[in-house]
Amino acid sequence: MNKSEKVRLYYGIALSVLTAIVGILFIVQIANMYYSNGATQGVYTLGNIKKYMLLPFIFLIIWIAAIIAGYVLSVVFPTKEKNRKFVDNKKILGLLKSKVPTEGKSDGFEEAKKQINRQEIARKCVWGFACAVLLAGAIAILIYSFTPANYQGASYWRADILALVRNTIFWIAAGLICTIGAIVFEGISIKREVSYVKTAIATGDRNSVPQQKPVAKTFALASTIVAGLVVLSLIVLYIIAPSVMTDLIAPVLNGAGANTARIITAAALFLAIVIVGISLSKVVKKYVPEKADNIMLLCTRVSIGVIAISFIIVGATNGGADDVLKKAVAICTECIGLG
Amino acid sequence: MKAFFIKVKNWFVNHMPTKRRLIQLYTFLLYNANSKGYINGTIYQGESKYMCVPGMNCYSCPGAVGACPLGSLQNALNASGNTSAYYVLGILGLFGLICARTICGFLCPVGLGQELLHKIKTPKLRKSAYTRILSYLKYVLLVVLVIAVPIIYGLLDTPMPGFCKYICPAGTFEGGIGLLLNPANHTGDRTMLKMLGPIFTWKFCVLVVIIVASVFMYRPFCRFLCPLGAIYGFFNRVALIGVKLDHNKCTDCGLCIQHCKMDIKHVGDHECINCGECISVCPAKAITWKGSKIFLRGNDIEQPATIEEKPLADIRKLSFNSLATAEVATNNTLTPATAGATNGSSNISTSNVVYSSTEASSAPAHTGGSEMNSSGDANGKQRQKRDRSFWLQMSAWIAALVLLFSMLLYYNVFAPEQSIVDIKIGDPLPTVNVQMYGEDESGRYALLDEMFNVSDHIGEVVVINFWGIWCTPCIGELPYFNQIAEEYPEVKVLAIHGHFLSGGTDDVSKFINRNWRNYKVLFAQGDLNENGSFCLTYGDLGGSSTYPYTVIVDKQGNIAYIQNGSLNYATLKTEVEKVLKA
Repeated sequence: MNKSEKVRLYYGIALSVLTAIVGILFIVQIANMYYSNGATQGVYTLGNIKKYMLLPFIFLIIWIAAIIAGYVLSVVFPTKEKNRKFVDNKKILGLLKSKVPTEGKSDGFEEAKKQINRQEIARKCVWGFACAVLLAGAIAILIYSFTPANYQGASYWRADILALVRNTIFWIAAGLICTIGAIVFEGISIKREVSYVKTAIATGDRNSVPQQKPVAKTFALASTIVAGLVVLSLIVLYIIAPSVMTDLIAPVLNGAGANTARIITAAALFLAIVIVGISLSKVVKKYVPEKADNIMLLCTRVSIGVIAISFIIVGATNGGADDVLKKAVAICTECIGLG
Repeated sequence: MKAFFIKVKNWFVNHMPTKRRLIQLYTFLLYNANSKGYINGTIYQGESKYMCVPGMNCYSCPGAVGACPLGSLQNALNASGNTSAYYVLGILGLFGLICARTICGFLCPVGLGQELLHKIKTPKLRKSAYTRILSYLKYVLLVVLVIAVPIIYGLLDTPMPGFCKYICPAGTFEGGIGLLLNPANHTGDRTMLKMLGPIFTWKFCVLVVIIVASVFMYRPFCRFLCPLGAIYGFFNRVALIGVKLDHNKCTDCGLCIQHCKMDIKHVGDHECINCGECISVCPAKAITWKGSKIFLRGNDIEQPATIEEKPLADIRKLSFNSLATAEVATNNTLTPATAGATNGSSNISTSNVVYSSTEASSAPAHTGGSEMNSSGDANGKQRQKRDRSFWLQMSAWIAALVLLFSMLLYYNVFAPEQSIVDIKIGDPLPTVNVQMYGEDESGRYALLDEMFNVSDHIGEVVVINFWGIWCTPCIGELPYFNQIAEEYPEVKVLAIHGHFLSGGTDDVSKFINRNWRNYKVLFAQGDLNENGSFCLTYGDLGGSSTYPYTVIVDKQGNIAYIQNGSLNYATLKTEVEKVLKA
């Protein structure tokens, strides 16, 4: 490491520490100001702010000065940023696996293939478990969030939101931990599998490498189109039921006698649109395969555009635009954090 | 000494803002053209707020001239029981179709702020598989705080924009702190400091965490928390503007993904903010801007000239695809020459992508359009193309500057001035004569012809509270006012409703009837301005734009207490008792 790099490294570390200190000071002092004065409204006075925020502001000024000093340093000690080498084992595995022969030529091939299968199964199990936790969490969060009984109403919204956080944070944390664990395991497993794959290639019969089928590239577009159709059908639901919330969803959620016919109609319409979309995509791919992607993309864009513009027109006439204006010119103070 | 000044000059040349940065700054100025709002400490209340801006810019910012799409969406979902959210959904759909997450990369002030903080020279936390997983947190926030909470609370007759209220840093920084910093809002009897409490404390901490995280990570809010980015991400594939990958040219080298600081799996996916920094990194020139054949010059490989750094002097050589090139030059030593080839000696200039002659000859054959043709015809055609591109860009920049200056002129000079009545404790109460809500002859709860004039109640203490059915704290504190009305029958408690939404006074009557029919509080409707967006009665008593707002009038008809913001029961009771004893 030359002198210039050393100076910049030490400066970077010092500035990082100073940044963290400034952030922590601001948080600690504002919490101090709030809790030391009764943890209620009215604790924020000019006197209190000057008393508690003086120290963080001093550090803030030092921080700003340090940043300016950093830019001066970068002029005096210019260095180029290094590009970190990135070894993508997953990609390497994908490339190598396509070369694995089906028959062995020397010892060690069978053992290598067994280990490869074992690693694949282990990864599938781990990811299966992580996905199960994520799915369970998603369902739990959705059910809790959309259950009106969990919300007590206007005077208790603070308690409601705290309860919402308490009930969802467990699932979010569980999902994160499981997924992070799965990623770590995947990294270790892939690294091991790469060595087994190399062994299998070295000990296998190169003439027995299977032909690779070309992967269809339109899957991504098809899935996008399906997603677009899902959105489209939800929007259509909105159109056929002018006040969806009160007429359709509220009775369902409150269990006060669902409008079965409308639910069935809406569900049928949704399925019909999805089926029409997928069928159209298949028909276009069959008869005009070279232009299929472009045609479906154009159809999706036109439909979204037409729906969006018609929604804006409908919204401008039914008072939705007025509501946007009126909420934007009169501030609900708690909604911007003043509360 | 001379060497030092040359270093300084080179530093400035290498750190000139890129076109993308200039567009971001321009957008910020455009969204916040009402500069006099910062001076007056008020928000703009004109009709341009019908329109949502594409990026995240809180409508409570003193300078904001448009509405925030995310806040508008939450408010619209809150009101779903009365009015379907067609307008906001349509606007989001249109923005998504045209730009999708290009808005994040070019048109969002919150993204700009994070990128500027990220430039501070500290060690950085780079992306990894873990940050990719964390990036799905914004979908959880979208479903829970932006969709579920507003809809469910809407069914409970309580306005609750969950994300705005508990997380959004733009609201805290631009709106909250932006308003508080003005002396008119933190001094005097109408100080906003009295309303600060637990929510401000929490949101301030969230803001500080995001600011500190932005120094160490690239765009942490955009990657992990922003529901607006999550919404626009759905449209990334079908949007008209953005980056696209030519799979025929792509060699799958992965350099674009390595270089990108967002958590993308491939170019143009839902995490891609279409900043275009990957375009100049791709050795196969497989990444282009969408629509590049129609409007923009495709990113052909430039004529290899010399391996020298060209200063940013000659703007004729600027191509659209150099939008992010200056950033690449300053942030990355990786050049297309080092990507796969053995010669790593070429530099990326701040104005052009320049390759060494060795690189050009070793470039993949299928890149196309990059022939080393030194004939006069080819040079002439290139010159014509550059000239056309130059004049197109000049026209675009001039039009943009004209628009910006016109808007600044209009909002700061010609737009009607919003005057705030300066009310102080001890001043006599202005005339307050309002129409009452109550039961009509048919037993229906509605706005009546009966009026309430405060001046007819001299000798009595009158508590006047301005509220709205769209305002969460207003609805939350009204039970306290009812309690005061019950405990102190000699006190008249008057709750004046401000401007109403598209449902009109019927909505207000139904709301009161459903929730507060038996209250002792007297409900009234304030006078409104021409377009119904501002309550004049509220303005006469010193209100500017923040709700709720409370004024206590003593027995002599003078103002005894002013509260800008919500009140808790203890404070309200204390102040009423003070006035009663006086």
